[in-house]
Amino acid sequence: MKGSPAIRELLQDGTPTPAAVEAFIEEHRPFPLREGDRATFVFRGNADGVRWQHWIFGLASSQSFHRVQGTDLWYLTVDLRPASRIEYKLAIDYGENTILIRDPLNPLKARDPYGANSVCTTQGYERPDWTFPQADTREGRLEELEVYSEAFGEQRSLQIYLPARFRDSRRYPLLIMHDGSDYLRYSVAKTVLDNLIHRLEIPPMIVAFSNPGDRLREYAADPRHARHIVEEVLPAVCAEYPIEDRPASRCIMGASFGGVASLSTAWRYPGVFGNLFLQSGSFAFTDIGTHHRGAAFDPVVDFMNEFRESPGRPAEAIFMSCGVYESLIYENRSLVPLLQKCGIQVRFVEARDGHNWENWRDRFREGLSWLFPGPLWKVYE
Amino acid sequence: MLDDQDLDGPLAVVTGGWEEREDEVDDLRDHCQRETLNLGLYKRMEDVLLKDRALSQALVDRNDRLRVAQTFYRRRLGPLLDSVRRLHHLKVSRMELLPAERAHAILSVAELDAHYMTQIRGIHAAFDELWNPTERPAVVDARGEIAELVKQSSALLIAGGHVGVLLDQLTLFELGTLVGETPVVAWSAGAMVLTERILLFHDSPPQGPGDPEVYDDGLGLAPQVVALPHARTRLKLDDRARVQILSGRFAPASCVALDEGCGVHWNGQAWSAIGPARRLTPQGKLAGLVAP
Repeated sequence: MKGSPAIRELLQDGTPTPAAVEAFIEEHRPFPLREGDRATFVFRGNADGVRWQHWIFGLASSQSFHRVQGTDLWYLTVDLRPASRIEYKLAIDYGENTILIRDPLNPLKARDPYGANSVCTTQGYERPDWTFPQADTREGRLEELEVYSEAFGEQRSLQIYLPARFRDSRRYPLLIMHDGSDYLRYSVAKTVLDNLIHRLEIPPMIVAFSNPGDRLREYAADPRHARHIVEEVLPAVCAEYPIEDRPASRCIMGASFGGVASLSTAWRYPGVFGNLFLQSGSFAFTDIGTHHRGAAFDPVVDFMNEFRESPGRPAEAIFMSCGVYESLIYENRSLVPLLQKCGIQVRFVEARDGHNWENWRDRFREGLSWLFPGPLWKVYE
Repeated sequence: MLDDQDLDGPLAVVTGGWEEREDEVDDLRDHCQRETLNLGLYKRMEDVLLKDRALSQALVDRNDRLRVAQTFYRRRLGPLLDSVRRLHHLKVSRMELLPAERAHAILSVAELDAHYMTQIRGIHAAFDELWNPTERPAVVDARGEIAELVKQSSALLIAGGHVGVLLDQLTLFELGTLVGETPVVAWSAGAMVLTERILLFHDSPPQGPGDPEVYDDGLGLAPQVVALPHARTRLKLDDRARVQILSGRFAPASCVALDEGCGVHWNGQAWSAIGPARRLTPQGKLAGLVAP
């Protein structure tokens, strides 16, 4: 690992004065400081230790900052790959206590169901413009649909996305999204759908945002969940809205455990969904022995082992994406040839990102436009 | 534009490219501030196809043949265009030898375009001969009503939308003939169908290389130009090689970038620019419109 030229310059005359440190911060903020493929993280404050806490599989998950002797300045320089997007926190040690904080010198953050992380991006990564609201984009709307679930013995609430210029007289493709509220909140799914439809990159479609009850149980290949989606959600949505009645116009998607829920639902009901969109699926399996991912994965591993034994043909086309900084990259990569061998059309995309909602957000365009090509090529208006 | 034409009487409008939104013409009517007569071509075509099931089925078959021909064309077009682009980015020690290679490579693409057009014209001709679609009773009835509306109008407006759907409607109901001497104002896909040759294009699609492809013959009312509506958003106009290739491929026709606030006017003999209309040059740049 090479050092940072900016830090070397700061330290060239020995211990910098507080004013020099302050000037250094002001000159280079916001942090991390990016020099080519190197990123330098900086923290100021009295502590017993400062560590970079990230979720990059393959790197030590916690790397210590160096303190500049005689100052309250801490820094860490790391080599990163271009076009990367990395979520992280700073772990600050005070004696035996450690607190995790977002980087105070970095305004860039990403929210998730657990709070928010700081974000470091490297040269070549740019947040796609279609993830931002656009002034000229016609907006779709969301409405609620209540579905009573026999499978779970309770009422379930769906949010239904209707595209701009929705008409009852027309029929639309249907996309069912697991973890719907999280996709809407953290992956700005509505903004993305509005933009991609407006840009004609995907056709106008209806999207059912579904939410779990006991997520880790239901999404872990629980047969009740498959029944709920296919025998309860799908008929309810089709009864209420004009949906194209053919598998090629139906897609089910999800991320992480939501990917498992999507695959297992399609596997249990082959021929229902023509398309699957699987993001960072938690497709853990064992060839021999046991897995080490915790009890929540037990039913997932059982399912994946069974699936790998008899995959059948859960869909005609599957778009898969995964971050290369996730431990799940290996399971996802290994699934691709298996699916292809079944005659399924598979597109697999890797991104230099982790297991997070913004990674999944950034893959929407490529995935949806591959599964549902829009009329872009022939519509000029 | 309309004010300059000294028009008297209502405007016939074609919004069939909007498909099922065909009737949503309030904004257009407000914009024109004149009485409008919607020709309702989308609805009329749907009605014809409902009444004449044999024709409907024959069209499905024809479209299937067109799709297959398009698949062959695309398979050949991709590698050809790729080689042309490579030649345009090639740096060699004897650069003076390159222009001839580039020109010949572009010619190969133009030849493929011509071959494809021959193929699809053959498919259309076979269909027309077998089915004589313009003489089917349901079509004749609809065309009579349309002709009456056009006759009452001082001009015909053709909006954009789905260029294939629009072309099918205009062809089936023979708008190119019905319009006679009536002035025509068309934009977006509407402008494309007026030309002799329709080009589909987008340099940055979410999937695929974005190879501009010939689609079909247009009505031919606007000669010697290739219409490129929304060029600023759909084309990489600062990519010199792409502009150069597009321009060379369709020469001697002019590729005209049609963006908001500009257009071109054909008076029957020559073209003139409306606003800052620009054409793509063989040098890979944009220049003011010159009559082709």
